[in-house]
Amino acid sequence: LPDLTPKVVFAARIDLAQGTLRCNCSICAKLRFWPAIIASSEFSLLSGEDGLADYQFLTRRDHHYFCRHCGVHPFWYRNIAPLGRVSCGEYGVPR
Amino acid sequence: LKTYHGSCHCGAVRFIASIDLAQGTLRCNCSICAKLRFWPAIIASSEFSLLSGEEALADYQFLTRRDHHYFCRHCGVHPFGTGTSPRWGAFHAVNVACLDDATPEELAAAPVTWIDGKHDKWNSAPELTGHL
Repeated sequence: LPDLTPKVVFAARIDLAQGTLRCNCSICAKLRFWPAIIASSEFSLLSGEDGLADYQFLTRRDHHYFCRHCGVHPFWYRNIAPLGRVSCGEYGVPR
Repeated sequence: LKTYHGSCHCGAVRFIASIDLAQGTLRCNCSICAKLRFWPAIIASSEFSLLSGEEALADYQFLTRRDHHYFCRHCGVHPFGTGTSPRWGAFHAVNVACLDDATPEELAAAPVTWIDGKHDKWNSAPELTGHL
């Protein structure tokens, strides 16, 4: 039988009424990415860190994570402070 | 039919495909289409040519393992999938969002057929479609 165990699992606190994004930039368009932006403090990765691939390009500012097993992009990460203050950041989580 | 050039984001995977977008595209609420927001045009496999990147393609399969849900292992973009069906024969499901020379106007004008794959109703539309 196929292994249906989810590889990447997270919990996130989101007020969808605060809005979501759709963007025509090169990566959002090809993925049809549809995120809600939340503070990193509202996000918990429960399992699957080992299963995440990280795609970066150009400025390499953002981390476009995806599951290396199924190719789904569950969330992305941007550190708002580019000088390494990892305490403030934001995640993009598809609905 | 118009010949389009397509690619993943990082450019490792490149293809050409002959597609008549006026013939329609699909959006489906099945488990994999919904999480990918996959937006394919279905074409005969004979109308598709992979130009580069075969080694970059990861193949995700599940359940019946009938269809191949390919994605680029470098950037995670799903440029196309393949399968065989009674309706279409050997087909490629080409992600129209990956067609580099399709204009926004062409894509916006492409008809969409909605599919309720989540409930195994492959010939009818789901009640809600705005999230797909």
